[in-house]
Amino acid sequence: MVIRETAASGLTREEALALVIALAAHAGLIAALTLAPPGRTVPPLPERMTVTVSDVIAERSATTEPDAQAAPDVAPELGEAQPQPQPQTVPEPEPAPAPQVTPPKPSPPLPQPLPKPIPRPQPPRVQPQPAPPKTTIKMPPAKTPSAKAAPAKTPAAKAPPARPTDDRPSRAAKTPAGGSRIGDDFLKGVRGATDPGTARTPPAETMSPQIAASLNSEVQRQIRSRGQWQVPQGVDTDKLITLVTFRLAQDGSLDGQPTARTIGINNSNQAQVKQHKERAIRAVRLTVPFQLPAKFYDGWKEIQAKFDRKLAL
Amino acid sequence: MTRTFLAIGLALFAAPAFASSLLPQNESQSPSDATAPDSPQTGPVAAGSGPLQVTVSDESEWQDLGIAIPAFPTNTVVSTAAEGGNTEALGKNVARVVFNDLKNNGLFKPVGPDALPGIGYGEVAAPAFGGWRARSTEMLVHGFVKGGEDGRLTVGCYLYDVALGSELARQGYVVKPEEWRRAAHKCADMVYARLSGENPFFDSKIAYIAETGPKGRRRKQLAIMDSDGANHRFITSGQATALTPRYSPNYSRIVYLSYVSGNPRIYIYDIGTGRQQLVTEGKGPTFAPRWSLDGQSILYSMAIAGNTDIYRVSAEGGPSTKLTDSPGIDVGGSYSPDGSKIVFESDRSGSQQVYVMNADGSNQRRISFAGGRAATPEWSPRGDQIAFTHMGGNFRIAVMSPGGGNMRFLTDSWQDEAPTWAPNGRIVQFFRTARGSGRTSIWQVDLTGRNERRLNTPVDASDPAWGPVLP
Repeated sequence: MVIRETAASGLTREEALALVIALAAHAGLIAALTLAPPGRTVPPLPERMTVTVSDVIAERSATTEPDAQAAPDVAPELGEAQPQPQPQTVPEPEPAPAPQVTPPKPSPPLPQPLPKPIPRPQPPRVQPQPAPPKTTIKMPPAKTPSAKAAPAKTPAAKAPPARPTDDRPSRAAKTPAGGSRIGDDFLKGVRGATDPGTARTPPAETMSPQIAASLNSEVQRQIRSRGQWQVPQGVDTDKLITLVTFRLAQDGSLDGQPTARTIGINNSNQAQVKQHKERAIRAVRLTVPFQLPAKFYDGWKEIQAKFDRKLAL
Repeated sequence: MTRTFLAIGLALFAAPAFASSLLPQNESQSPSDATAPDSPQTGPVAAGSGPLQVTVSDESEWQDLGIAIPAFPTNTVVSTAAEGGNTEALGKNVARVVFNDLKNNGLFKPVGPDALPGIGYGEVAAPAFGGWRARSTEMLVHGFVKGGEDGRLTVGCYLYDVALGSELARQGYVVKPEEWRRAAHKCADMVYARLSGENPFFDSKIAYIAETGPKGRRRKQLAIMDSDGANHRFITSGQATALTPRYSPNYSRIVYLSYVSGNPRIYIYDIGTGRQQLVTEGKGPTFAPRWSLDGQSILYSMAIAGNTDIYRVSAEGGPSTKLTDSPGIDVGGSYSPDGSKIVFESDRSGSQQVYVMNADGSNQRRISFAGGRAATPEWSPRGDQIAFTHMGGNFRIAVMSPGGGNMRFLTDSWQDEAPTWAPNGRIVQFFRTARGSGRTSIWQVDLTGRNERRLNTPVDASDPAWGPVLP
């Protein structure tokens, strides 16, 4: 009632003025916020990274050289050595689109085979290329003659077809894919076809941190369940730590004698050092054969086990 | 708005990444699956990766080691003068002694011959590990007893690790029939030393003061026994009070305090001949005698006109050398194992504390600063610890390093006092007075303080003194 009367009576001058000011201020505020957010710069977005969510963490091979058996496709003059695969488990964060893998080098397919025998030493331009972290890849070119002399189709069976996908997008985006005049559509889909050589010994599964962690806990679990490890009782024997280093054969049995060294020795526990060592080695002996996945043999062929009671306290 | 844009952007960028992350995964798996079984070890060794690092901890409580000790078999049953009458019965007795030695120690959880099946003579050197594993025993002691032509006994002792199925140690002893217990103690010593890393001590003797009679008029006799309480023997009749015995290093004599003449004086008792001899005729009461390590001299304290000092005298008598010269009460010297230092107790600072000096009396300095009072120090045979009675409210046995640091209590009772070391320096013996009744008993505790047990004595006992391991 009262409100309506007020409305009906119209706005007072002050009210009208206030209304206008308020409207103007709102409009100004909206404009200001829209056009130039005051005092606020949008922080640059962090580098994007690709996270792969996988339910089989440790079982996945995370070899650093998925491509070790295929040597790079190198031309004598033009070529730049194909860059090494990045030694890492997770693909590079670069969001570069995959299609760029193909370098724009349309060339006649077959002029190449002859110069191949001297692929590596010849082009000095290859050298400036950042040195590959590993030497393993350098080897295949030595075998090139034989591999290449044979018609390029023979190694075809070597590998599954998805060659381009091996070149991680990151790699392809950063560096040119080599100087071959052979288009990469040559024998497309046949992996070995464009490979000048193949390593005859593919890499073993290389340890990723996840695999190492899994192996670690598995070794630990087996020692604890079968090793019957106990610290000899005595003064300060819980300060003793024995490091047992041993090698395992592929069937999980001991290869050679374990070696042990003990730290944390003081006057009081001196007498128990021998026992501490002996019990630690005994635990290893009682645990073998270890049951560990054969394909990660590289990761567990040598183990250093640290026997430390204090951790438990 | 912006958010929507961001989300779209993410989707745009994520899609290729997602695709690329899928593909190499699939691909890299296939060759490895195909080739790994062929030659997994020929791949490049990851340089610098080193061995797989694993840490193993032992979260269980301190556990006593399970040891099975079946009766020691014999090849042919012959009669013997030793306990049991024949070698077969003796074999069981030997195993029982080993069992009791190990049981009372605290580190082990032995199972004796009375709870185990017998074994054949052939099994001694070739145990049936399978059967013992089934009993979940960890260590196994086997042995045999053989009667010889001349009546002597041959006792063999073997220690096996059941889980590994390997022999850890073996020893053989040829003993006279009356010394059969020593063979058993030696066997227990071997097991103890091998499994604990410490020096053996079962084959040793203990001297102590046997107490009988009412609280006000106790009769205190000197007595000796084996470390397990066997072969108990009273040395003095109890007509005169005897106190603070100490075995000489070669077990031939015992020095102790006797009131036989009416005054406290130090006597040496010769175990072989039974004769006893006054060490020194001092002007005042003499007490707290201790042997030097070579058995050639004796430290003692003498009180003259309220001032007590420590003296050294030859075991054969003769003039005494005064080592301390303070106005307070200095008592209870004990040599360090190398003979260069003496630890003693003095109240020169106002209350009883532990001091160390050189063997000639120079360089006296206080080492106990842990609060409370400290008395009756004794240097460990290994030299790394000093045991003493800590008095602060109640009396407790404690140890500290020779420098005075690292003090640790080993016991917590109403009144524990007069610590003495086992020959291996790992076990401390002391006597405990029960509250109210005043009855005393001998106890021992290991240096961890975890394993404490009472020694069986026929009567109440105090002032224990552990002798060295028999040769």
